[in-house]
Amino acid sequence: MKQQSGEQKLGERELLKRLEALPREIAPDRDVWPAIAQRIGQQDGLDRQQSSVRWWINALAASVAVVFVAGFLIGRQWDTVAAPVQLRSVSSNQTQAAWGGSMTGVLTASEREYQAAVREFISVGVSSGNLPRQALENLTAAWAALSAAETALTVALKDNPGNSFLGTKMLELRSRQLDFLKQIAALDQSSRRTTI
Amino acid sequence: MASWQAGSAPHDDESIWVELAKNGDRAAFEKLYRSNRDRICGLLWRICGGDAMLAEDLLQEAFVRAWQKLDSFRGESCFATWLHRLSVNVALSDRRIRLRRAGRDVPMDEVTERTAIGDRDVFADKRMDLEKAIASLPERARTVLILYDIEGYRHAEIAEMTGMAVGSSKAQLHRARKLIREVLE
Repeated sequence: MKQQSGEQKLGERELLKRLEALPREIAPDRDVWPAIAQRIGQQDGLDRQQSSVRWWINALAASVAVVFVAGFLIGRQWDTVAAPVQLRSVSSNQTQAAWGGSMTGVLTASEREYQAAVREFISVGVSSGNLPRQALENLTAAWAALSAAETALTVALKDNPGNSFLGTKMLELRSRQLDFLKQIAALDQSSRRTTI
Repeated sequence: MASWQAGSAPHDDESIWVELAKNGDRAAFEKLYRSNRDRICGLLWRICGGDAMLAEDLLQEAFVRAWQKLDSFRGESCFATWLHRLSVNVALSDRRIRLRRAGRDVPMDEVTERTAIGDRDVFADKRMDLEKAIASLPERARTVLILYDIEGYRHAEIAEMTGMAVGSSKAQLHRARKLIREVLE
């Protein structure tokens, strides 16, 4: 640029002045607001559903974190216990029977099964758009209730790790949470079928 | 030269509208649209080389994206500056999509780049010789000239938005100015 002649520099200055003088605002021929309003209206409907599911997924993720920390804290006291038993499903009778022997092992196995189920659920996810809004709200409320119970039990077990009543309740809660996740997966699958 | 003041203080009313719009108030967002529409339309119309229909489509797209991304607006600059930048990105993204659809992995041959489309140019009556000269520029040169000389962006910002090197931005600007002078002479 420094090599340019004075005449060309002047031409460039003149060009820059003319460019600066151009109007910045140009009104469109048609008002596009109605189209924008329609699109953001549709988007809002979807967003409400998706944010509901996002909140729900986040609640699950937070729950995993709580369980992980709680499991770490409680698990330190279980280190001396024999290898945990495999738990596929937990019933009240089983939990009572198990309590006399190795309840801590049962709890450990239950935690593992639950965490594996949650990890699988989070990685697969659900198709939020296919679930009715009312269903999403009910699911969200149900999961919130389970999570609240889980938090309370986790804190209580941390303070009283040997309490058989709390241990039984935690096993029952985990069983209900597992059933809940299975029902969600089934509902999602069914919903997809009806919308295809 | 720099007419677009990035980072200028937010307007009080605008800040209120933005907050309301963030909370889902569409009427507030319409006010933001009304107060910024012509400014954004002017930018998009020039970047589109005077293609009014495309500019209006992009105008719509820019405001829909702005609504979707309002939560990410932190108020560090004024809303108009944020919206302006977002609109540039929408226009550049649209161009990349057009290039991909054209099946080209490399930038279009400068000679065949799209310039103003006469029949669709409904703003023809508003155009002056200089506007016509700008519209006749190859796309990349035109974009850099508009962003630097008219909108006041820096080369580093243009490079970031367009994905070209800072040196390329400077070269395109030099080329654009030279071509315009040739057209106007």
